[in-house]
Amino acid sequence: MAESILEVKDLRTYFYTEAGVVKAVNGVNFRLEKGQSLGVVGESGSGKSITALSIMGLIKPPGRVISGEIRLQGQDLLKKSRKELEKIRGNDIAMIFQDPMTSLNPVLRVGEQIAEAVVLHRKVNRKEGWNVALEMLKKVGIPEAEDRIRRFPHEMSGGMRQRVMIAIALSCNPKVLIADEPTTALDVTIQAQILDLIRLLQKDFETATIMITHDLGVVAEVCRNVMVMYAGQPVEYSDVTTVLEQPKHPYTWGLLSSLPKLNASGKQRLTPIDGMPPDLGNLPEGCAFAPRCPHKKPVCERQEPSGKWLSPGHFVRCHLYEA
Amino acid sequence: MLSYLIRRTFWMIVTLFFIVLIAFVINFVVPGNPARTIAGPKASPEVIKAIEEKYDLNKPVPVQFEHYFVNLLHGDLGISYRTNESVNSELRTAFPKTMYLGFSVFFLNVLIGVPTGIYAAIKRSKFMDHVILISSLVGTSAPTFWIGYILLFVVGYKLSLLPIGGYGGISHVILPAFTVSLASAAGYVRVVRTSMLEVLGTDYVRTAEAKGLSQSTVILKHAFRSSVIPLITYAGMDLGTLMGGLIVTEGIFGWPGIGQMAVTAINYQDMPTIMGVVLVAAVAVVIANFVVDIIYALVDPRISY
Amino acid sequence: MKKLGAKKSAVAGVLAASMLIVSALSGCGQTNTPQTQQQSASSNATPQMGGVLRTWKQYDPKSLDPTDCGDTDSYDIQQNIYDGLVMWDKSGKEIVPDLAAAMPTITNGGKTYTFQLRKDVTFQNGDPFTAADVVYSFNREASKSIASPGESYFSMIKGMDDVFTGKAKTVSGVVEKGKYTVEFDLTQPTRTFVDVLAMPYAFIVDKKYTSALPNQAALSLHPIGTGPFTFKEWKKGQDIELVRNPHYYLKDAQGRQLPYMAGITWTLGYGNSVAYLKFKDKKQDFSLIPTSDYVSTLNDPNMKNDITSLVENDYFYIGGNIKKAPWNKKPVRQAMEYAINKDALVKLYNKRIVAAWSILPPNMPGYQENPSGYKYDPAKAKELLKKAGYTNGLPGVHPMVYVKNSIRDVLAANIQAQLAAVGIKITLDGVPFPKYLDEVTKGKEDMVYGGWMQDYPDPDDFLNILFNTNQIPSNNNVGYSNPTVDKQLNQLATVTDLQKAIPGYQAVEKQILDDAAIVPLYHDKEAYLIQPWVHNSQLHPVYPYFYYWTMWIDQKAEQAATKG
Ligand SMILES: Nc1ncnc2c1ncn2[C@@H]1O[C@H](COP(=O)(O)OP(=O)(O)OP(=O)(O)O)[C@@H](O)[C@H]1O
Ligand code: SF4
Ligand SMILES: [Mg+2]
Repeated sequence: MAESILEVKDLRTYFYTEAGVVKAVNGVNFRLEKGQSLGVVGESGSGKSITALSIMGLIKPPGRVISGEIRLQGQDLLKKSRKELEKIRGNDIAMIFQDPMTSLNPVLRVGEQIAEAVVLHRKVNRKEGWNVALEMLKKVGIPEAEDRIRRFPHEMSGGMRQRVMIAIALSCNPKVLIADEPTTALDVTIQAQILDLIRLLQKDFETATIMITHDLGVVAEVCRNVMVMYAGQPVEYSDVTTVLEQPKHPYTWGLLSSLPKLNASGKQRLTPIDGMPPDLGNLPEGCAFAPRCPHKKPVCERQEPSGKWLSPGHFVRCHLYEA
Repeated sequence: MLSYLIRRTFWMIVTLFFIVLIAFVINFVVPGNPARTIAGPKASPEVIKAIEEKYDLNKPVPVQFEHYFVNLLHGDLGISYRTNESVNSELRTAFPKTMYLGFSVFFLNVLIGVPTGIYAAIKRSKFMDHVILISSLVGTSAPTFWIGYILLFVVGYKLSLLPIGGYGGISHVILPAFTVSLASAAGYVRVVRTSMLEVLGTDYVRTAEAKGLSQSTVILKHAFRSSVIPLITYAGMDLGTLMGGLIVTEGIFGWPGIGQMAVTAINYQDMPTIMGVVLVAAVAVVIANFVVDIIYALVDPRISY
Repeated sequence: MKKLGAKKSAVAGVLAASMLIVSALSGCGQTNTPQTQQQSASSNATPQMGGVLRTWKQYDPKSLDPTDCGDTDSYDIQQNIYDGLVMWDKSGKEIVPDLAAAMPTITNGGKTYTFQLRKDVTFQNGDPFTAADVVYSFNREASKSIASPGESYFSMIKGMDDVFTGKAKTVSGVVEKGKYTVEFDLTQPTRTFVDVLAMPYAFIVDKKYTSALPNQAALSLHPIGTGPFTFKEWKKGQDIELVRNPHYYLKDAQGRQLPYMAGITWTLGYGNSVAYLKFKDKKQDFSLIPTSDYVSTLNDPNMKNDITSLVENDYFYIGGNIKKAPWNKKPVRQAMEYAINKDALVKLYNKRIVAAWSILPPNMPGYQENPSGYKYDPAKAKELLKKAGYTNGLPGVHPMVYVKNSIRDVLAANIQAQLAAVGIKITLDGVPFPKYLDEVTKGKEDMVYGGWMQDYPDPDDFLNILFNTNQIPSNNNVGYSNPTVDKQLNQLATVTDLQKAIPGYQAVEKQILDDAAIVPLYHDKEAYLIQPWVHNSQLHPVYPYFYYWTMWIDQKAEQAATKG
């Protein structure tokens, strides 16, 4: 087995709201190897972003990571102090957010926004930080980088800004990059460019990547493994081919059912499945998918499926496969 | 930018013209003959006539306005009915003292309002946040003279820490500045808290945190800078109220600024002085708002004129 | 006279506006017979020289130019800088010489007054004082360009009004008859002429110095006179400093040069409550007592001895406009005399006023306590209304106009309730002073709640000005008109000896009250705080301030008290 960079075990992140406890992430497990890329898919609200933010240590009240382990090269991040985490964030693990229009600080020059992370983590002076920033801007393919580095975000297009975000994320050569729907907010032609860039840089920097997306096309293009999430839990996990071609979980079937056959450049959104995702503050007793599942059995409403490795590398959480 | 400046200056002048006009008209609408007020009820008609001539009160109102306005264009605000001295020279003495107090208040507002607002935002919904919110409510709604008097009583009299009223250096300015500031800093607290909360929830603050920046860097460099814009807006809007607070407070503490001048002048129907104070205050507010707009552009790169 | 706009402690500015105050105010001070200075000493100790009196005023004085001395605040300060030819003695009932060497000789059937002047007086800058300064000062007061609001007080001087209206260049009735002799020629005999000479408008300025000023307004900022204290500095809104004039012409009984104190400093610009705190903190030697602290101060064993109080020469009243129904009916007016419980008002205002059953105040010559024998008797009031034909109370609702302030609002509301109890319905019309003047001096009002403060302590100043038919409506606001009273008043004004006129004035006062022209309500009682180490701080009965030049400070006691 290759070297494991990041290992998440039984991660649970709950929000303690006035209306009750919202179990946004409710037992997530996965492993990420060096240079590997994992796709995370699932309907809106299934806990993808909260999983990512939990790993980053960016959960804010009323949310709290209540249990689990997040091991970065063996070290449990959940046991780290705030100071220690600050050293890791942006340095060992970096994250790209969904909306480049709002993710950059409007009142700071883009160069500064890249350089500050470099200055912080690489312990270099400001000038060197700016040099690195310039270099990164060139790497992410921003033309006239010498000029753009002094610009403010509002003077750049969405695609350019996402490149800046990528530059920020990769500026300290992180071991893990989490990209939370990095292309959703961009128009189609730009999406492809950005994805290509991520893929390219991922190879270059040998960064392990978690790619959160609604877009199975993206997964097909970029990722080796896929984790399908539903109601805060992984319901199916395997390599891309297996998930796309021989999915086992009824929810994954649903995600794929209305998809036209994927072609090479196919970029299809997940289509909605009938019914609504469950209320995370009031989960049903048995399988969370049961209310919408066309294949449910009596046991499904009584008892939660515990999950099973159908083959090494293919995990499914469904009573259909439990003895 | 230049065309903006020209436009802005033009409107500033128009605004001031209307302020002069309105102040002038209001002064004439109030009942009573100023000459009679000056002369007293027993004065003979001859005395009243002489006083009317002396102060240009015997002409029709539009003519008086014209005279006033022409003099104003020459920078002459007239002669005080009460003291017989030139309003210009009285304002020259008083206005810097009001500015001194005003800037002290502003300084305190920022000193109190900003950190408290940030603190409340960070401690959102926690105990301290509620304490701060409630105290800021009290601060805003408590009457200025009451705050002033309590401060004088406790800090000046009971504790003998600071002088009880009067004009002077830092030790004299603290209590009156604090009196005005308590009310307006409360506004600053709420504005900073609200805008900080808003900014703290933004994606770019999350980006900053994701970079591993320390909490203080995130707050001061990323969050506060953007939340300063609503604060500047508020500070600009608050100027009128601030002026009001200064006037009341000057009266309480015996601070010899334009507020005190105004209070005495109003008691005496000393029109030229009232006009002078109104004008200076208006010019100060208009200019300050202009400065606010310029600061906007400096703080927020998205704004350009 | 001035109509009382507001209580001076509260809104001196308004008062100032209205007031022509003064002569009364003027009083004062300096007794020219030093022996009498001792009689009022608050201790038997020998006066000490030195020490600065740290006193206070809420508002800046209007002016330190005598021609503009229309308010009590200006007067309080000016009396130290300037002197007049005559002044009020300490009893407040008699005029005595000041810069004059003696009282004037009156000739020409009461139309010519000749003054011999003191020869030992110099101005604070060293200029000698002579008759030329007197002539100059009166010409200045008459000057049209200065437009002194007090000019008309001096209309009886020949040529005064002619100069004022521009018909003449110099006042023909003020004549230098020698280096130290001045003659005044009057257009008609006027008993109150010496009263008027005691007003601050008649303070004497230095001809040489004043005429050389770049503009006449400059005198206010750089005043020079012959008085006991020399002007040092006036920082507007902050303080006014006077220092001892070592060349002042008066000495005390032991032959010591007056004044005793090294100086007086008025701090300016803050109100009662703060002044009171500073007083309690011993940072200030003088204060008024805030209304809210009045009772507690009276009962405070540490402070009650610091209080000195005085019933002022003013009076407040209510009255219906006699020119209008139903006030033209005497029984209706008499009903009002019985309807008001004045003690209730006194209690409401923490005893800062005393009940009035007469027009003339207690310190006024001719005072009688209750000439018409009215009392509080609501049953009698109702009966009188019935007699007037109003069985079920007075028809209609009558607006009562008065100068608005927080205290008067409370008193007015109480009056309203009391009148309602006997069947007289009124509404309260509290207005700013200028508006008030506008209404009452034109006789437009239905009912008025007003006040009057003396200019000089002569019954003429109250009875003639407020009740003579020829004063309708400007000062006789209620429109009272009684030919017999008019005749008496006109005759009494020409009596040159006030003492001889007093029985006549007392009869007139009784007649006016029998006619129920107005209902007297109360007189103000001013109470001051003065630190125990300040001696001789007796108040003038006429004018509520001190004789600063005979006050002295026990500096050891002061140091002991302020150190701890
Ligand atoms: N601050 C919060 N308070 C309460 N509940 C929250 C909060 N933030 C997130 N959640 C809950 O967590 C659930 C998961 O949210 P998350 O953002 O991880 O969804 P997601 O899978 O990323 O969806 P999307 O595809 O729309 O981004 C949401 O359904 C929401 O109910
Ligand atoms: S466990 Fe049952 S309800 Fe849940 S997905 Fe499987 S079949 Fe459907
Ligand atoms: Mg998400």
